[in-house]
Amino acid sequence: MTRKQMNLLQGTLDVLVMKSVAIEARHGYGVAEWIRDTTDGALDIEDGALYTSLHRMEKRGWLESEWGVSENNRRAKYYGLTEAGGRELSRATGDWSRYAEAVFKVLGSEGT
Amino acid sequence: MRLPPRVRRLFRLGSQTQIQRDLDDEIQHHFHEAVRSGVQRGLSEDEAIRRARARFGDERAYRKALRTIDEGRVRMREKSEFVDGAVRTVRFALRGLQRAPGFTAAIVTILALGIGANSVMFGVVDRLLLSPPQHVTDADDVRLIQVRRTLSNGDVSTGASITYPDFTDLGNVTGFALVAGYTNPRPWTIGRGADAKRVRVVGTSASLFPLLGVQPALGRFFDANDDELDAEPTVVLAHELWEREFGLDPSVLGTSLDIGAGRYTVVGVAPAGFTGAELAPVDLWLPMKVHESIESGDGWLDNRNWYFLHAVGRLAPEVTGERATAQATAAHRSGRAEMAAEDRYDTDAEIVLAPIIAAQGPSLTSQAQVARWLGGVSVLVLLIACFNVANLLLARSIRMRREVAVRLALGVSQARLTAEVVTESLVLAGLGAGAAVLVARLMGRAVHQSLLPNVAFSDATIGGRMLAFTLAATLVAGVLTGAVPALQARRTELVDALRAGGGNVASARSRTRIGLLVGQAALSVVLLVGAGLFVRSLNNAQALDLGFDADRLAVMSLEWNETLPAAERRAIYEEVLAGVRRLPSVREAGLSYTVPFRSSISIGTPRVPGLDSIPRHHAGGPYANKVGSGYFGAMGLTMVQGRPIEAIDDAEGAQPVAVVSASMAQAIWPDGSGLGSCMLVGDEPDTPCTEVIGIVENHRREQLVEDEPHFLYYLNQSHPAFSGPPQVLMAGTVGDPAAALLLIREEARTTSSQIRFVNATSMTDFVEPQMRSWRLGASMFTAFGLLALIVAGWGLYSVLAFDVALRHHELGVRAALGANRSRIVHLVFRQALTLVGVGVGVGLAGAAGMARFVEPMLFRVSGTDPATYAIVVVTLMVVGGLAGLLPAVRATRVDPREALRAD
Repeated sequence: MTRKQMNLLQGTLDVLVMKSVAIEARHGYGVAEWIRDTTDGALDIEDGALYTSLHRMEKRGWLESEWGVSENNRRAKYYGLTEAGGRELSRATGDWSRYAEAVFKVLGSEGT
Repeated sequence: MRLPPRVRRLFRLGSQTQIQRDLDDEIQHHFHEAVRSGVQRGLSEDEAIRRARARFGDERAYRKALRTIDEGRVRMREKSEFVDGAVRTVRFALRGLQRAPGFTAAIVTILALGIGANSVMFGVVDRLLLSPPQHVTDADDVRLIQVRRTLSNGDVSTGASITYPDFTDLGNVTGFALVAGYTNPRPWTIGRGADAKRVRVVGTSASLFPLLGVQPALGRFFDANDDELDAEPTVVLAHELWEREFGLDPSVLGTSLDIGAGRYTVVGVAPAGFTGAELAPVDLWLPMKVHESIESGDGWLDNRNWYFLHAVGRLAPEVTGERATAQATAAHRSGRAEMAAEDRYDTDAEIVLAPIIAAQGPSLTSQAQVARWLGGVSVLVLLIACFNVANLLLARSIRMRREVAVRLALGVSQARLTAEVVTESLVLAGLGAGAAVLVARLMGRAVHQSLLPNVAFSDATIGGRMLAFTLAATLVAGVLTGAVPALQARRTELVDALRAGGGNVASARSRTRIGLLVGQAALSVVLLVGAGLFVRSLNNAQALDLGFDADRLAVMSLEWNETLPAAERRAIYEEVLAGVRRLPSVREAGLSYTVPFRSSISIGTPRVPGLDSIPRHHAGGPYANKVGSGYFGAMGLTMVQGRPIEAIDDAEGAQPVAVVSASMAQAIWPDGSGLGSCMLVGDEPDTPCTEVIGIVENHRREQLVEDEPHFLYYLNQSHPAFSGPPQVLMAGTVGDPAAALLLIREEARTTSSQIRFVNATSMTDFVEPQMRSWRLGASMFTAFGLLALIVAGWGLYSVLAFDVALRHHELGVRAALGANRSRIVHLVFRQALTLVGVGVGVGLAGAAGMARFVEPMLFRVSGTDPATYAIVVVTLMVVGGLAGLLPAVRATRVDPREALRAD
């Protein structure tokens, strides 16, 4: 495990979380697992911070939750994206792409 | 916002423990999954736990943060759900009301009338009793100055009128920061020719405005220079006159205005609604000294018998009312010392300082007393309205019992149902208040103009205080009307209602409604008795024999272009008289110097040869008048003996003759030898004999009630007091003088171009103000009483009709068992009349209990007048019978088969 780990900005974590529950409703551990798997563990996120993000977005009305039964037959709280959350996700995704594009442009011009 | 637990339960809100439990479950689930997955990947359980913990971070800190977030979330949801809930409840109520438009309209109307009437009466009471006149600042320090003294006949009088020397005495009292004197509003003419108008004019000292603390709307008020005898005449316009006559044009400043005999320069405009220290409307303010000297010369300056001023003072800082009273009394007595020493004035005369807010004062005008009662009455009317609305709501809630029971069974909470009922009544009260503002506007204007024309109300009928009152009344009405049905709704027992199938009304439940009905009937009785007593008072006052025919009498006086000599004025009066006599609607006409209820003249006591002195009357006098031929006929006065003054007595050089009133003749010549006797009118030693040619019936001089007829006599000759032209033309009319007035005015106007203004009114205009308090009481009590009666009768009807509907089944069974129609009718009527009967009993007792307090305001009617009570009882019984009629008929139409099948 010598991979470089990155610190995340608050807003970035929210985008990732929204993305993960946009695909399908997940419980907290499921979200953590999905992010780890998708990024090959490149992002070092404390699970506690992840839950904070989930609860905060639920309060804002971007996520909604429901108690259900997990694949292992346990009571679990599942999160899904609300309509407002969907709008927020596409807005944030757009911002992020433009931001990343701009950074790549700067880095690319320096390399040549 | 923290909500009380009951409300939280009502909306089934999450609680603290629920948040904690969910959080525990979620985190526990997380660790469970994390450890399970670690173990799956081949870690030891301990290692898996360690890694999961490390990955999570500081669990305690995160838990705390999560909890805070969740609590915030729940609070937000509670708030929005509460608002949603309230909106939903209001919508629910509105939908319910929409479904029953007749019911809603009925309730809104009742409430609008109840609340509207209350607002109007509050406005009246507020103006007459509770508030100082408009624009008076620091009213607590302002005192109306009155004089209490014993008159020569032993009566004690407290009066507001003082003389100019009395006023200057008060000016030296150090207990007052300022003292102001002003006249009553007097009718005066402004403009000339066809544009001439009558306006109400007050002459005042310049100090009135700073004393009351009022600021001009335009220009300035008077300063000390305007208030000098020889000052250039200036005038301040009332805002209302400025608007009416000048369209609020500011360039009116500096222009001049013809007022009476003078020409005045406009220097300022008073703010809207300003009426000085009194409540009567005013059009123009003039400097008192200038105005008085233009109109009356300077006789008033040092005359202590010329009462024409009212005075008001503002207490100096730190000075108590008692100290100022003592100082003012001392000043008044020292000013009057000379007269008192000659026994022409009361040595113990006192100054009385009355607060400018009537309710704080020692004595109320009869008008204010009646208004205070009406304020109480209007509260009764609102109570009746509330009772009735509560009853209607209650009847409805009973009809909806089954629905309520079903909803309760479905888990709707009691609290929710209560909230719905109360919301419904508040919504109704709100709608009622909206309509009430309209009612108050219309009714307010009518009441102010027709019943209280002598009080200036502000144009904004709905003032801030009144609006506050209306809102308060609405809230009270809403809660009152909601409370009863709400309590009933709560008492609905689930099983009971479901089993009963909505058809059977338990007696306990209708007890409240019966109580409400009896209460309504009782209140109606009280109001109608009040109405009856005031109507009888007014009738008694109107039926009084004044001696002359006030309602068949026109009074006309002329105003002149000022330079016209007296002889020409007399000639024009004669000419107008000739013309007026030719009018077909005029029975008879004559000239006079004084008018009953308006003016009288005392020219000293005539002497009678052979008598040392003639008997005195406690009301003063005898009062003299110079009249022309036709006067007695026009007045409708009958000669007791002898003949009236006739055309031959009018002629130049005719013998001096007199007609004496019966009371005066009786006092001087008790043996009946008056006719043909000689009277000496005047103090000169060589005064010729004035022969008494007639004795005429008595008439009232200035009051509706004068216990002993005053001494009056009439002359044909010029005594110095009557050296000028006649003052007035009296015309007896055929029928109502209104039509004749137009013709008389026209006749006079076309007679001479020297006439500036023709003032023609009906004699009743002079008498009417003395009847105002009874008229106010009679009209308002009648209006309120009828309103209460309609509302109560209708309430009774709706309850009976409703009961018949509910007892459909029972009546069907009775009919099936052979009860005949009359029995069933009897059943319904008995209920109606019992209710009304009990209510009437309670009401009569209440009215009798209050009789003692109303009596002083009545006129020649006892507070327990049996005839009035009897009429009210009959009225109530008739209304009760009518209310029972339709339901009774409906009850007889119940078809037994149908009724039995329905269950």
